[in-house]
Amino acid sequence: MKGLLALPMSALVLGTVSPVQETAVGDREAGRLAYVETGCSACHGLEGQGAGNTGSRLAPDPIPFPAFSAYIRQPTGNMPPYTAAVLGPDALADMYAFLESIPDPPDADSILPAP
Amino acid sequence: MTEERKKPVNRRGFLKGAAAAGAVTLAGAAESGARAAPAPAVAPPPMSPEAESAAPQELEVLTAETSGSDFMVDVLRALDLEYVCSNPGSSFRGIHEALANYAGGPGPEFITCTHEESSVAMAHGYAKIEGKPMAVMAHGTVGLQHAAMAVYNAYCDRVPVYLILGNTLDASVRRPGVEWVHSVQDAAQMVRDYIKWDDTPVSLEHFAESAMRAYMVAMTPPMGPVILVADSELQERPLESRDHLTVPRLTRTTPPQGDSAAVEEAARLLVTAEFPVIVADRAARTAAGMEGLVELAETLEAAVIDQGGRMNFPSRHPLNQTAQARAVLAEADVILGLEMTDFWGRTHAFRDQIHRTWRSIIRNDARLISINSGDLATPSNYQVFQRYTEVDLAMAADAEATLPALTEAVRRRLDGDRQRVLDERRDALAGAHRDIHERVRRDAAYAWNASPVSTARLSAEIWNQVREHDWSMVVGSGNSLSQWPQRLWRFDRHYQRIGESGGYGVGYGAPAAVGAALANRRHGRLSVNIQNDGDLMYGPGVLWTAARYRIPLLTVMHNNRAYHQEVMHIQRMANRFERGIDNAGFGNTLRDPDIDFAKVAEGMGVYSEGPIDRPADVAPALRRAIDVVRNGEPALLDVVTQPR
Ligand code: HEC
Repeated sequence: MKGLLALPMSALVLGTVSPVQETAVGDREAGRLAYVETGCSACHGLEGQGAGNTGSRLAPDPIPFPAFSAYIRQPTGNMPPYTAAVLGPDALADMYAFLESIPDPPDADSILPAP
Repeated sequence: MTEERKKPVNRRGFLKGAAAAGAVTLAGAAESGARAAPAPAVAPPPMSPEAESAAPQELEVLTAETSGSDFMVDVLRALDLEYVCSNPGSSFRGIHEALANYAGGPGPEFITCTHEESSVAMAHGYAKIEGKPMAVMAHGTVGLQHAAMAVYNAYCDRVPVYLILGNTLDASVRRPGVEWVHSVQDAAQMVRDYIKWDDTPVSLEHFAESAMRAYMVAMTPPMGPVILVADSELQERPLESRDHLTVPRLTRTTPPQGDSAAVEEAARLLVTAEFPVIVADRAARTAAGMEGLVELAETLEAAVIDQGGRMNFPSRHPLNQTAQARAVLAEADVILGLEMTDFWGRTHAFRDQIHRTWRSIIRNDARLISINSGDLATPSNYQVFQRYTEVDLAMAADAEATLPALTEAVRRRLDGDRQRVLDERRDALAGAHRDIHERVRRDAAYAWNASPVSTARLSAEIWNQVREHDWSMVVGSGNSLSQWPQRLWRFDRHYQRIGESGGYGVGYGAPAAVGAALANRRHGRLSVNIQNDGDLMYGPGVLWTAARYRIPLLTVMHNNRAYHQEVMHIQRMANRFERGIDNAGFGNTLRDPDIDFAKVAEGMGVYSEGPIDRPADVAPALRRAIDVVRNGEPALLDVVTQPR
């Protein structure tokens, strides 16, 4: 059984995949709202800080926008897909702007006890 | 009605003086009473001066000096049961009263619980700290029905719980009404799929022997809950003589050890492996199990992944590679699984998309070794055994008991050349462990100042405060906290972590924490519970039990105001069907009104503060709460948190 994928990959391709935008100029505040309302924060944390296996860290310094939007449309792992039918390109760009706006965290040594 | 059937029943025949006079009508009561009610056996003496001075009539015996329950309590004493958790119920009123008043030495202390699920979950948490069962008393019907979920958790988690159920088997003596609906032919039947053993004794001698057997069975790996039904007639019937009764000596089994040939073969595979990996789940039943695993790992210089079913391996040991489990498993040529709940799940990746798919995440040529007492008792109905795993060498045995022999066998096979390879491996793993820990610390800093409070910040703040004490995290190491405590804290004692519920039945956390804290109390440990909001709402009454019995326990709410696991599931469904992606909270949130857990706790007599949603407020509140707990009382902080 090792190494088995039960179904052909084609079976996994569902929904419409929108053309990937190369750049994003979004509205940060609208993005913050969309990020929470559409459930990203449920798995990735309210500031995209990540949550173990539940969702990877998204911010600060999000991955480049093309990879970002491609992943959301067609995740290769466990993340549920967000097709263009339910999440338009503007909302994506807004979310990205929000994630880009998140500042760097404090230095761990300044807040946590020595290891 | 025949004459025979109309006769009052005098089953016990406890009439003083001359023979029973048959039916004597009780004036008043009989006239106004229902026609079907049997007449009392003997009239009470009329309350008149004449009657007082007249020659004594024959009297019904209404009292006795001792009962079957007294003997039952003596049996329980012989079992080393410190406490009995119970929501009081009439079907075991005999034992209850005997526990209170039978003067023959200290009995198990009665702990009043406000729900049977709390009673059993308290016993569950207690057993994982103390290594022995606690007794629980419940009605054989309504009590066990309440308790069933907690029994299932204990079963899945392989934890001994000693349940005593009251019941009235003999239909001819049952009180009308309640006692009938609280009686059952076969009390344990409804949970028999997920207990280890049960019996319904019909005599006191039978009770005594089965009581011993129940303890023995519960404590033999794989451990689990057992049920002893205490018939109310046996409990309440006066005991005229004890001459024919004995309390048997308790037999304790030794846990099953892997057979010597298999142990030798496992040692050979492990020593010759290039990169052996040990994965431990419910492996360390006791502190000795943890030490045994450290010894094996250090002898082999092998990577260890702690699945967290028990406190198996020190979190900051250089060989601990839990935080990069996938990476070390991908490299492993031999994987030793110790008491694995789900070996398949650990060695595969599973995708929960519209078509469920999976793939192996280990090498094709990896050899799998398993030591698992679970293989000795695979149930039929409940699917706790997880997916079938292709294991190359499977020992149906207790891992902890087998570890010393395995370590010895490994040692015998090591020579100087091999040792050099092992030393290099150790250094590489130690380096990786250091790097991972550094990364974890950096990761914890993200969203540090966010409100609601991040789970990393919450975990770090608690760690900052408890690390100076002799602490024990009784609940809170699960996925709902994104494993932050495991990643950040230094766990190096067996009692510092006790695993999870087992059956994932929500409602385990709060009562298990109180039970574990009760066990920790004697050892002077600071018990810490990071408590999910949804879980507490199942049985918040256990907070009262903590206050009532002065059980020192620090409860810090992880209050994300939702059944958050379900929020994510509904999100998944909505995305899959391309609708309502902003509606995942539907039916899943605990808002409007927001629950004020500080008030809930206060109402139960527990010191509390909250809601706290600003991260900077967490540390000072923790200091105050820890002071309360150090003074022997429970305290609760309601911290409003991020989802995960
Ligand atoms: C149900 C949980 C869940 C939800 C909801 C979710 N994600 Fe994810 N996401 C994940 C997981 C888990 C991963 C890690 C890879 C995987 O398994 O798919 C991930 C990965 C990603 C990645 C790739 C990160 C990388 O470094 O490669 C991006 C980008 C991402 N998510 C963005 C989003 C955004 C934006 C949203 C909301 C529109 C969202 N996610 C909603 C669970 C979720």
